[in-house]
Amino acid sequence: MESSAPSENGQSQNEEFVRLLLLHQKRIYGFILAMVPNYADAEDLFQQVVMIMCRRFGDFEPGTSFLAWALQIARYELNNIRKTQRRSRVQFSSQTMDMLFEQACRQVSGIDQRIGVLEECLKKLEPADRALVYRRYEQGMKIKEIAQQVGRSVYSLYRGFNRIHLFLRHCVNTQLEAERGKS
Amino acid sequence: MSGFTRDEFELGLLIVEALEGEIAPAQFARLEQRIQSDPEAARQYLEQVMNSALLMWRAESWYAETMLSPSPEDAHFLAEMGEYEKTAPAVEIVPEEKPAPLEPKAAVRSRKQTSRFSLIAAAGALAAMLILLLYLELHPVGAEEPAARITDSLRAVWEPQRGQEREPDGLLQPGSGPLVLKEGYVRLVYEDGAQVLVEGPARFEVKGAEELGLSYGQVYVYCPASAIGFAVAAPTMRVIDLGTEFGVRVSGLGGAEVHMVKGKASLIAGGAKGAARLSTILTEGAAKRVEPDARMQDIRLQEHLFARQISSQAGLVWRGQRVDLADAVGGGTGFGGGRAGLGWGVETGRVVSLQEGRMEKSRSAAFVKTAEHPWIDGVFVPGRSAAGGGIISSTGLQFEEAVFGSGAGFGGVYNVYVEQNRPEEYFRMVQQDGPSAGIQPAIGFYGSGGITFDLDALRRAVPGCRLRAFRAVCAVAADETVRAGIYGNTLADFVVLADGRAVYEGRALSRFSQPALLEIPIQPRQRFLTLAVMDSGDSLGADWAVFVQPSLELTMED
Repeated sequence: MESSAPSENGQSQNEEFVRLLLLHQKRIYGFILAMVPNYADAEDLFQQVVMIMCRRFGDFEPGTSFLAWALQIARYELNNIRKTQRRSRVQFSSQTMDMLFEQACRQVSGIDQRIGVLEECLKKLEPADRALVYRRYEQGMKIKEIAQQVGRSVYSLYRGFNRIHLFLRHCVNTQLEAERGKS
Repeated sequence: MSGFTRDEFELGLLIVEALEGEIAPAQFARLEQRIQSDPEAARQYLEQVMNSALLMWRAESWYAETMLSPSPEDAHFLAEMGEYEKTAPAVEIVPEEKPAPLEPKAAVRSRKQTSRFSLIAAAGALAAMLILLLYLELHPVGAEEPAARITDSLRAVWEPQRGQEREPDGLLQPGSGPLVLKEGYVRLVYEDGAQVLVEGPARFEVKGAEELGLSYGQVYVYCPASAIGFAVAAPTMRVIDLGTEFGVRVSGLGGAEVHMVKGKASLIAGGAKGAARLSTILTEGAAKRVEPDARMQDIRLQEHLFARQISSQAGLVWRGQRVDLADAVGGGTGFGGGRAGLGWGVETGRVVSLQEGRMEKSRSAAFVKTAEHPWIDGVFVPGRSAAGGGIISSTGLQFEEAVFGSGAGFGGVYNVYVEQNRPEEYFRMVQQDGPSAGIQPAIGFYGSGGITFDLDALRRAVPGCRLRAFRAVCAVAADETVRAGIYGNTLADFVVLADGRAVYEGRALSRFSQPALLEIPIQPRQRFLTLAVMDSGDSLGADWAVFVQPSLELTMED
């Protein structure tokens, strides 16, 4: 268990929450993105959900998994938020979210292995594709903006990014399986 | 890259479009239907989303880790990025072969510290705002709490419509709106220790506890370690401090410049949210101009362009230059105003011209206080022949070891000019009203003499600055009598004292001796700096002993 007991001292409890949040924030973000497949909405919801977690940290039971607690809260609060704040034109039904919940929890639990492998796979991309990844994810440009800049159609770039993601997924899975085979 | 099934490709495309927020309802319904009906599709969906999340997180963590909180191990990477940015085209940027680590170092760091800055830095830009909000949740800050205060102003004229004069110690709250300084200077000190010197005309705003907005005008920022992460936001760029001193200049037309005087900072060009932004690390000695369209170009660093410190008490504006001791000897402030050919009479402690003082032979060795200069303590002639011999300061400091001169001199200590004159001799005296090409200012002693500077008084004249070192070149210069052959070789002894202790001694230097290059550190508690020259035993005639370009180096004080 990565969590220690929240102290009765408020400051220590705050610090403990921040420590655990920093440890798991990318998992929580990944989970929310799986439930709300839209970067802009997920970022916004991530902030809201974490603020709620902060306020409710007193309910967290010391000695249990912070991640499991956090994902339960995220799932619950996402449901609440989606009822009161309609964001995108589209969103998953509760049924789909329930179905995805367990699998998403498994995925985010194993995210550490995925991180290192993904890094290796990025190196295997063609230079032009790496440049696209750089613009999208490090410069923060939207695909539409990149298309304008490079003089290509938006649709062709969607296909290009899809190709990149399919390659990365295949590459990551192959390497993860190879690593599992070794161990 | 091939070998994907048609179903995989179709599903992947739906996921990409959904994540971008560009998917049509019918297509989203198709995505959801595929996920619900096909476990393999659900698996592909989750794996592709996780990879996308990690790419987003990776970039943002990289941004925060490198831009906001470089650890020592990042230094090499930062340097590489800095070099890369210098040569990279503005748009066609290709990622480095060695990308930043995927795993943010946040978790490790968070165990050690939970300061506001470290939280932001560790969290990554994606979550930076969140963490800041979180910090405020955990450490509520009253809305009325000021973020900065005005600690001094000089000839400041504010825009009348603001309706109120801003006085020293005036508190500035975030969100209280922009201030327009029509002319003059204002020094702000933020709660975290960041110091900002604003030079009018300027329109600026305290935007937060660690941020200054600058619409136009120029500012100089000094950030001690406690203020790392302080930012200056201009319409077309943002400069984030990484432990630095830098100047920012914003024109009314939108162009902006950053001049990196010390340390390093992150420069992000491009103001509009969502627009393409370019970033680079600026290192010491670099300067960049940012155009309104976010293009960046290297420009020459103008080290003395920005007012760095002011003193309303002394009427002083310091732009990073050294304190010119020759200027002070000529009656100036050390930053200008001194006159060539003037000096301090060793008999009277008053201002005397070279013409009148030079022919009066003095045999007094007594220390004489100079009342007319705020930080020249006094003058004297080294020697033990008269009462009070060996005293070198108004507090009675003595330097017996130096008392080997004859106790004779000619009149005073002067602000003079010299010119390099190789190969005949190293320096020759010139009659000049001010510096020009090849002509350098100096403190000149004709025969024997000494002068003591009160460094504490000088520190009071330049508050917020630290005296770092004394620099000068010691030499014997030839005057017209020597050059005409009236006098032969001339010899002089030099001594520099720190609170009465010798920190430099040069014996029997002649006009043909290699000049001595002095760089003597000034200790924080050191009060007196004494320069003295003594006849070396040949004769007093034509012994022009000079300290060429004598100066005190200043730095900003933490």
